[in-house]
Formats: sequence, structure tokens, C-alpha cells
Amino acid sequence: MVILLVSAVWPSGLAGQVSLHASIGARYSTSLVKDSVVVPIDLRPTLAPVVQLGVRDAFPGPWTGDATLDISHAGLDRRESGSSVSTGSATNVALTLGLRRSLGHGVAARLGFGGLIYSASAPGVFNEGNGGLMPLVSLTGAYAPPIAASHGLEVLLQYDLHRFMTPALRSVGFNRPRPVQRIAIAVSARVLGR
Amino acid sequence: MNARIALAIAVLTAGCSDIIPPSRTPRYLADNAGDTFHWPADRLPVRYFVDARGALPRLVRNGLSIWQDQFLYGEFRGVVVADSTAADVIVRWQDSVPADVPPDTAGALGSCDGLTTYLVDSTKTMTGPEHVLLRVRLGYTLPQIAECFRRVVPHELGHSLGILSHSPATTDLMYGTPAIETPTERDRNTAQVLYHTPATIFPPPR
Repeated sequence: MVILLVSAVWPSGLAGQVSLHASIGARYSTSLVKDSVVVPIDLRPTLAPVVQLGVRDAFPGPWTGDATLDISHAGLDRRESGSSVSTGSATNVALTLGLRRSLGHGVAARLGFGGLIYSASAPGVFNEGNGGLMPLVSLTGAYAPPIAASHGLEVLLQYDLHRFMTPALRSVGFNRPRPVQRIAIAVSARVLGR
Repeated sequence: MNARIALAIAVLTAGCSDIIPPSRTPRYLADNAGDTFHWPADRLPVRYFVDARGALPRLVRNGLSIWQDQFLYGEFRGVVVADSTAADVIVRWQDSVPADVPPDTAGALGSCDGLTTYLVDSTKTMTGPEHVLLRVRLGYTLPQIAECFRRVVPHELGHSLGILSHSPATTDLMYGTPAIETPTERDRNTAQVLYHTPATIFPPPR
């Protein structure tokens, strides 16, 4: 899907500068829901593995455009009165288009915009649907150690933000989506291209 | 420039301010003379044994699904089990088994009834599984009885999960003689609040 999207966005004449990158890491997320039913309740994703697949196209100068598909799967914990109960799990898939700039010394920064969608088999907040596509903004810092630069190896630190709301939450009276912040640490490698 | 920065900060702060949770009103009291019960998280899913005759298995599965959907955070889950000795709740016909026919909503009210019972010891711990009994009343057609059980089975399941009283509102599923098949907003709020209220009655040890 990413490759098709990139083909549509970037001219085919630049195909020689296109590279495919894969990354794997872990992600922390703030609460999806903060509620109060007699006692305060938090619904929070557990620390989750994350896999990303990105297609980059080098522009002239220090800029690179990319499309990145990001998939993570987290357990969902209900935290209440000092205890934590597993309430199932959710997979989320995000697709972002980003612009990346090399800052020198192996350091690069990326700003991305896109959408995120949740898929959960667990009942509860996803009872009446997943809330559809949620706009997402992400900011990534990357460092490529000189020794690994030839393989396109990088360490990524990624922050992103989206606003979470589902039809089930709306039906009980939540009137605004909650900002959800996520931080991921990942290792990325170039798997195709230059 | 300073004013612009201040405005930007104000907008960001407003955007990130805490969201006020919904109040869960209206609702009614779910206790029985001050005693409260709900299934604790470590006893989920609650195991239901169901008389296999007639429409009862389907009605119970539907009823459990309906009640599970009232909760946002997985507070209640129920499953049907085949072994009555391993059950937390036993659901049976009291005497005759009504035919599984298409329901007729006209005149169905009062054509059946149900009873949910449990026994507790001196420590307010249940001494065995809950029992749900369902009974056909005379003088009604089979379609009327079928419709009645579509209402009464989820109503009794509401008792089995811990709503020990009846709603005072005639439009609620947990009203004494329910006229609907699914929980209302009042029923849902009551169940959600119940499952975060400390219980004073405890399930039997496994």
C-alpha cells in the first residue's frame, strides 16, 4: 500500500532515489480514556511492540519525503483504585506522509501528518465502532551512527499525537476526544534502495 | 509578537485541559437493603449453565452480549458453559418449556415471569451458584410468551450480574415487568456505577 501511495505521489523519474526502510521498536502511550465512575478510571495501552515500513525519496539538498506505515499492538489495561485489569487489546495502524531533513552528523528530523485507525476485538470502548480515522501528527528524531550509516541503520525517537474518541464513549456522554501522546523508540534499517 | 505567543499558549492549554467525565445520571439504586453485589474482575467471565431446551440458550447468549455491551472497560463478561457443576449461574425453565416461535409483541406483558435467587452465609458470601428460574404463565399465546421471554431473560440476567433491585421507571429493562428487550441509559448507568462500587456480598469460592 505504501509503495502504491508513493508511486502516486512522487514522479516515476525519481524511482532511482527511492529506498524502503523497516523499523522495529517499542511504544509507550498515555491514556486513551480518563473516566470517573465512583473512582477514577484510566484506560491505558500497555508498552507495545511497533513495526514501521517506510518509503523515502531523496529530494535535492537535505530534504527527504516519505510515507510510513506504522503498526503496533497493545494490551489495554483498566487502572482503578491502585489495581490494573487487562481488558483486551487493540491494534492500531497509522499512515503518515512526512518531510525529513538531515541536520548533519548523522542526525535527522522528520515531521509527519496522517491518520490512525484502531482495530480491537475486545468489547468496551470499541463496542459501537472504532471511531474511524483519527488525524495524527508525528515528530521524529533519527540518529545514524557513522559505523552503520552505509546500511542505513538508524535509531529513531518518535513522538506523535492524536485525539481518541469512539461512538461508545460519545454515547455515554464524553463530548470531546482525548489527546493521546505516544513515544516510540525504534531501530530502522534500509532494506531496499540506496 | 508576545500577544501572539500568549494566544498560542492559551489555545494549546485549552486544547489540552482535562475532559470532564460523564456523570452517569440518571440511574437508580442497585442494592438490596443496603447490600451490593457484583462479580469481581478475577471471577470473569461469569460462567452460565443454561437449560438446552427451547429458545433459552439463544436468549441467554443474546442477553449476555447485550449486558456486556453496556460496559466500557470490560467490567462484566459472561460465557455459557456445558457443566452445571462448574457454573456461577444456572438458568432453567421452572416447569413447561415454551415452543420457540416468532414473537408477538401485542399483549405479551405478564405472560411469563422469572426469579433470580442466591443464598449467602453469615459472612455474606454466596453458598452456591445463583439460580435463574423462568416460568410460563397461563392464558397467553405462544408468540406472546416468546416475546415475554425476550424481555424477561435479559432482565433476570441483569439481576444475576448484580442489579438486585428493580428500576422505578416503567420504561427500563430492570422495571418489575419489563416492556423492552435492551437496557436503557438508566439501566446502563446503574450497571456501570455498580461495577465500581465496593461489594458487600461476595461470590462463592471456586
